[in-house]
Amino acid sequence: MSMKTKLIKLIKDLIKSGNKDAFDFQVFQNFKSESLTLSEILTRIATYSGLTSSDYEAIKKGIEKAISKNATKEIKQEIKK
Amino acid sequence: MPVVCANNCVTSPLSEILYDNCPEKNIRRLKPYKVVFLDCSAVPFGAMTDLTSNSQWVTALATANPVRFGELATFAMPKPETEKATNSICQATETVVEKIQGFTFSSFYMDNTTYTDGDFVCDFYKAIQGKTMVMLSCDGNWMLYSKSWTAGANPGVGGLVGDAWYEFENKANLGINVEVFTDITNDCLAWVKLPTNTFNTIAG
Repeated sequence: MSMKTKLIKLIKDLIKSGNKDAFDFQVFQNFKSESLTLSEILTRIATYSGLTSSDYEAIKKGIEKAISKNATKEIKQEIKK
Repeated sequence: MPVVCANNCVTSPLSEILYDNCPEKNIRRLKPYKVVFLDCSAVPFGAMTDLTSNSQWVTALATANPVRFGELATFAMPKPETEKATNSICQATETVVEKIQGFTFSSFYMDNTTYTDGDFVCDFYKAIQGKTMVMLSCDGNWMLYSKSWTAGANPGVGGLVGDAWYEFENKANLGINVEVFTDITNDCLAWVKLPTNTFNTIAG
């Protein structure tokens, strides 16, 4: 399975799970970072060309990292309650 | 003897189609509506990061000199013409070395006030080489564009050659037929579903 396919599957699964987080998304140096939802990121991934396997892997790791940070935040909030 | 691959050479990966579990969601029904020709330059699209963004298309179209053709009466995308080369007479292996995609389409819509359809037909074969092309389908708001598009690039299918001509028979309506070809040996065609406001902006 290609890295692009793995990334798309990860994003689709996260969308199905109801994730509505916004992520700072910057793939190209010449463009500013944008705050995007997973659905918006999915469209970008699906339409951009010229990305390498390592680019897809980096995006996947970035999303996973951001998700785990948000999860930690949510857990902390739960504890406070 | 089991069937094996011809050689052990590394080939390009073949991408998997990620089908939806609901079969009806896997159908892409098209009703070709308009073809939009854009200037070949990438400059108008320099800030485009999202093909579905209405505001980004508004900005880009302001300087991309869009020429809209339609409403379409017909649209066809036949099997690409390929040129193959024989690499080895003994092993009978052939490789595709060139792949040309043709599009043929027509419209009965004319300008009966200022007759600019005549200018379109007259200019077409000379001007088309400076244009790229996207096609819009009113069913599903699909847009056909260049698979090689990425942020900041021109999304139209480029490298176009072709011609346009009037066609008329007996007592029917006057039509304009268009035929264009693009080299897809190293490029491909792609589809994206647009939000309605973006679709309407591009369709004009």
